[in-house]
Amino acid sequence: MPEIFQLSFMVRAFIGGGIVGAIAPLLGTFLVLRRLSMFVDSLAHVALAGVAVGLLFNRFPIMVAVGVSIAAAVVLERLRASNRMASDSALALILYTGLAVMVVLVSLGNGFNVDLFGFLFGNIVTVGGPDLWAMGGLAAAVLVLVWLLYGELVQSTFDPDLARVSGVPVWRVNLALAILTGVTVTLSMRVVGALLVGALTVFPVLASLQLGRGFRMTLLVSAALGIVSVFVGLTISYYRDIAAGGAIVLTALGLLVAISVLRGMITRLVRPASR
Amino acid sequence: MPVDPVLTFEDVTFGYGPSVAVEGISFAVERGDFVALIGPNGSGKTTLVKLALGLERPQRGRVLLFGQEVQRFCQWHRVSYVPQSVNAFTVRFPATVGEVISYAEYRGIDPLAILRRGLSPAVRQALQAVGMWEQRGQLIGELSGGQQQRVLIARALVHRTELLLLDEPTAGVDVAGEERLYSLLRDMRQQHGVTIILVSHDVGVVLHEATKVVCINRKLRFYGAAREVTDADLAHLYGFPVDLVFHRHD
Repeated sequence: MPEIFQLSFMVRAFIGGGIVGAIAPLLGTFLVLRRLSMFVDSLAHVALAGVAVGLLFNRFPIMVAVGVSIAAAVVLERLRASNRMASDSALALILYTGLAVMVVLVSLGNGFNVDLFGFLFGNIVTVGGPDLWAMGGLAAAVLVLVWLLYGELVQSTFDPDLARVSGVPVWRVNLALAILTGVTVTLSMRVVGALLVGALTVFPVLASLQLGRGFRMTLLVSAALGIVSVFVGLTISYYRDIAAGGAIVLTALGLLVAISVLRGMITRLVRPASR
Repeated sequence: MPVDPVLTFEDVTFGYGPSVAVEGISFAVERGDFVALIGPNGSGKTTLVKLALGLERPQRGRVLLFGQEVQRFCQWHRVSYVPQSVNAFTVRFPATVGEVISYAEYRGIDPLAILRRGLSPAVRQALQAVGMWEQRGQLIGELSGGQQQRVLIARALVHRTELLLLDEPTAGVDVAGEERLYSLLRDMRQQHGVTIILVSHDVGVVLHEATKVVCINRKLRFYGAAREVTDADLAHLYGFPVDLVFHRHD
């Protein structure tokens, strides 16, 4: 067995990373196609504020972050649904509020900055058994949601107004998607870090959209690319002794670039210039 | 027994922020009507369609769909909507023409929806009716504007709709496509009794096709039989002299 798999923390990293690598792009497919690529980033900053609250009071930082990011997801959806402001403005409002709260809490709580760094940039080797159970439960919830509400999710992504007129409960579907995204973001922070979790949600989807023929295939391919990015990134990180979060995201970027280039070459071969 | 109008506006006022989009609108659309909704840019035509579909909530008055307040209406299988454009046309949406038309068969949460493959007979018929059968496997984003519009119209044909609302369906459609659309609408109305409400800027054509006309410029300027609309009504509506030219359908 390779050395990397003889270390229990690396095995846990591969399992946890694999789970996050699959579900983040699965939800990301719906977000990217709704032009909400920054949704994850906004929730990640709020989740960081939640972690900071937990660290300040020395009480369950992850659980506090989950609660805070769910609340932020609900507020975000309400703001978007009310048409009181454009979606990108609502995202900016939540993102900077989260960031400001975190900065204030960091200045108040001398000493926990090092712990917060682990959530900011990711520290996959600290993923423990309870984290894996939480990630497994979340993965099950995401899979059930996508399975049961596949038609509703696709229709409200295609066009929310058209979906409403077809009888789809768009607000409730959006809320379910937002809440699960909030939880996914929080649990993914240990793997890639709050600053990079958005990239793991978006890059595999962008790559998959280059290949996908149909919605189901796009979902499957984006999840597969997410898993590959995590596994390759973790391996490189271990053998080259570099930060896992960065290695994972750069691997996802590499896959996106490679697929885009390959697609361009194939398109040129199939459709030669008509001069 | 009297039959409820298909759509009723009762003294409806709505605005976006401080600006009023439509004010004091009252009219009723009867079963089997073909209503043309006309007016200058920014006159409130699309707003009226959104109010009719419950996508916007009136600030005053009420909208009834099949006799029921639209916010409480849930028999959406009786209604079809063809918008000007949809979100999916502006992103690389990974769905084929056949898939998109199949969405119109939605009947509530279905755990097997993710497994469903192939096209139902109704979807096949709709594809053929709009001349998109050959493109059924093509991605929606690879189509021209006119073809995308035909896909949206095909969605409306999938289920036996009773009310069809179309918001500028001929924008970006060539003459042949336009004639094909109106021929389809004539068939739907005459053979299946579908009530049609159509927003258009092509005043000459819609006045020829429609049975009734709603002229709107924030307020209701005219509602009545299409044949009763005069050049003077249109000049008042658009603010400059209008000569009606009817297209021949020989």
